Amino acid sequence: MTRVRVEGIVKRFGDTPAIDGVSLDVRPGEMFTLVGPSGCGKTTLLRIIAGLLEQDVGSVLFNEDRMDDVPSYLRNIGVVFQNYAIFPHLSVGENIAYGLKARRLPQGQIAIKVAEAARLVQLEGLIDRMPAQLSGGQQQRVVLARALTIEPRLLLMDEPLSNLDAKLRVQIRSLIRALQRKLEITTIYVTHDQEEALAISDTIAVMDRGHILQVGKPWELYLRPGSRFVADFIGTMNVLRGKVEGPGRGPEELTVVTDFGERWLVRAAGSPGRPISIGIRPESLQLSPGANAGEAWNSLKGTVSEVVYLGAVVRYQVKVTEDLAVTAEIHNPDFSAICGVGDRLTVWFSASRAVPLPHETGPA
Amino acid sequence: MARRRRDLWWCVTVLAFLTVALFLVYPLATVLVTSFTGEDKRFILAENYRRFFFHRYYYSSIINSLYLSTLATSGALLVGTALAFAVARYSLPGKTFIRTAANLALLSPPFIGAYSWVVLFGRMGLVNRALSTFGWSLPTIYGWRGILLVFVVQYFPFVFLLVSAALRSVDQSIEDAALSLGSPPRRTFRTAILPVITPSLTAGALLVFMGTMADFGTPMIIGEGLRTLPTLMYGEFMNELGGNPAMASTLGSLLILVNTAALMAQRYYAFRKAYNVVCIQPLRVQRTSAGRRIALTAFAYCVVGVALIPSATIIISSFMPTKGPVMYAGFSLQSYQIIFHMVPRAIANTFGLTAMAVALDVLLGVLVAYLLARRRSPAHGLLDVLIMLAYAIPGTVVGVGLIVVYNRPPVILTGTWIILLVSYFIRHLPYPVRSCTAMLQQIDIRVEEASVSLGVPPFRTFLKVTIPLMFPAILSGAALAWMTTIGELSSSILLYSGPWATMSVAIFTQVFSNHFGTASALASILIAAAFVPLFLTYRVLGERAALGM
Repeated sequence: MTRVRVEGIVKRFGDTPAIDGVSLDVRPGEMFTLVGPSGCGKTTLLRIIAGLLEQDVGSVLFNEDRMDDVPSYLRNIGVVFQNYAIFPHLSVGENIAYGLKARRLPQGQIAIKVAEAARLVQLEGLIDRMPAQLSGGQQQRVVLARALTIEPRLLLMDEPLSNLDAKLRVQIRSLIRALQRKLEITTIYVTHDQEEALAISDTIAVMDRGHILQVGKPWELYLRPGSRFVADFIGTMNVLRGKVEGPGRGPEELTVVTDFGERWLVRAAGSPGRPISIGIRPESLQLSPGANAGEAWNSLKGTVSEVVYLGAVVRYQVKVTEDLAVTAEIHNPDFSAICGVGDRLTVWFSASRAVPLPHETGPA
Repeated sequence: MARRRRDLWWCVTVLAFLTVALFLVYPLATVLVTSFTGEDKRFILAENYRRFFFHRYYYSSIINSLYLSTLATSGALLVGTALAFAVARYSLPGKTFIRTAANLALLSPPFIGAYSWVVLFGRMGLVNRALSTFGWSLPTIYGWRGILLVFVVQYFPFVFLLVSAALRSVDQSIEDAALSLGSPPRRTFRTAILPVITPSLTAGALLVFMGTMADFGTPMIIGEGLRTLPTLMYGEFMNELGGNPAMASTLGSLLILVNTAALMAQRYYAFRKAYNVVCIQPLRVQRTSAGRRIALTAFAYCVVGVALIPSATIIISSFMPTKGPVMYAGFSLQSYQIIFHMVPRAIANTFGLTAMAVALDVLLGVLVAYLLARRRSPAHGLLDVLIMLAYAIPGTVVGVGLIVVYNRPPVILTGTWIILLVSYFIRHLPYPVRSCTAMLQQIDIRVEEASVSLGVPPFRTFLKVTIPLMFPAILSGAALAWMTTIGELSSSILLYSGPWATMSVAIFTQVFSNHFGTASALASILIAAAFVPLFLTYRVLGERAALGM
């Protein structure tokens, strides 16, 4: 199993830095995801690790081996690309065998390994087909088998699911995860889809504008985002601003006065008089009908401005002031409890659900 | 990769630059410099140009050339576009035949087309002699009318093919959208369809304009003394009283100027007006009245009928017994016997030189195309422009340039076959380069990266993945280069010497000595030789891929 270390990578395209001093430590055998909006540098970083692009500054290490001067074809890696990058002139079997032939394995052994890889990705019986005769999902599985069969030190995946439809995406996602666990292969996975990142990863690194913002387990990023950006990018976050008034009722609790005059108790640290940003996930919010219902603490009053009914979930936009609306998600809503646009509501949450965020100026 | 390495591609870049510099830039620069040189080989400013523009004998050539090319371009655009629309949008009988016929019309070089019209309608021509038995006669085919006829007939297929391809890339939804927004059909055509195909129209116009500007054989054969830039240039250079390289170079420089300006204008225009269209469902065939259908059918068959006349005339007349310029009814292999006896060497030369030139074109073209498509840098941008230049420069100018440069030490190539090979090679290099570059832009670079990541080094990846994927483009580039090389006349006529005459040169001399039968036999072989690779390409790739121009 390979441990991958990335040390102080800088890569510029012209004058703009695509990667601006990134360091990472990927543990052996883990599924490590780079997630971020398009243009954040995640694919560039992946290509540098693959050796398809050369960094300007910094190093890539596989275990103790410095890879900086090792060309891509000698790094022994498997790469799976977004648009499959299947060899259209070769059959499924020849595609899978491609890397094995380059390693000059004997014919018999190649045939055994190809059959094995095809079985692994559930492509038995399609070995003699040409890529043009395959569906998108099948093509992606060929590419996966092609990358795995060379027994690479490291598997790199660049948005492997984004060309597939929703159902297939979930199917292949589980297949990838199951194979990765079974083969215990260190994998770096790039995606812009936060849900996919949460679902598949052992560890996630959130990237933005060439920087890594936060690295952690999926639930760490979701429940304890270190910045406004991470909070917004991984899931949806309502951000509310206020001022610390003083200590709260329990330890590690603060009393906060919001910009619109409500008094809250939140689990956070801070000294009186300091401005503070508080994040609350939509699913942490509860609704009570009427303007005066619910608790006096940790609540705010507003009017429903939009209702999106999704079956298992109802998503409400609740307008609190002219400039502030919050999103609330109610799971498993009761038939009689569904609100309509224009209803007056009280929205409330429990102190432990509030996430303290670093105070940032700018639009809430 | 970021760090520049002196790898194989670096070597290819150097080799390509060296090739283009030695065989194109240096000769052309010499032509330009010579145009500013007096008889005593001293630098003179514009003396040659002054002479050119003050003597009717000289300046009439540029007027004739521009006049003929402009008219021919308009005519070819009109005929080619109309035919393309008729075939694409209306249900005409025998569309495959029409398309095939238009393709076949491209097979004979224009000068052979010119000569076939002389065979039919010339003074000793078959039609004129038939008519004269009744005491009738036709207006003369010689002079600018004949040249124009030949130009339009020979060049409209380019426009037809380009516009047809462009029409196939227009999605029906574009027309539907315009019509649904309340735009009447005529306005829809003008505002929604025409703009999308305009880049192809201009590309076709450029092809016709440059081709007719450069055409040397047609005005020589059917022009009867009408001076155009290439014929006058040839005359000045090969004058029996001792050539005038300075004036020839002046004419050559003007040719370079006109063609490069046309090329630049088209590039600039097409670059600004190019749209990316995604075509899922091509334009539908329209319903129309029976009368209109009959009229369109008649038009289409007239056009391809006329386009096929030259090849048909040549092939038929090659099997007729002849005596000098006069042909008799009947069947005879006499002409073929004569040529195999008289000029076997020219046939061997043509096939040998063409095969070598095309092989070199493909070899260098594939590598250069890869550089241009995958390793974009300012140097490669320059290389791209220089190779496009080879496409724009008339053969007569390349020929004169090569002679001026390589008839003096340290390297003397004049009088050898090498100089012919050089000219063929450099002039037709753009075909594989362009077809392969276009193809590479459609091949995802990640396919190559996948191969590299699987452990196959870059150059072996190029051989194992890229080349097989480029194969259709390689084939069509090679077929186009072969087709255009095998009948090349304008530089051959300058560069050949003694034993190294080619078939095109032999045809030309046979025509001038009024041996029409032997000329037809040679021309038939040329047409067949051009046809076979094109036919094979079609069989392998299908029509659409083969037209990768």
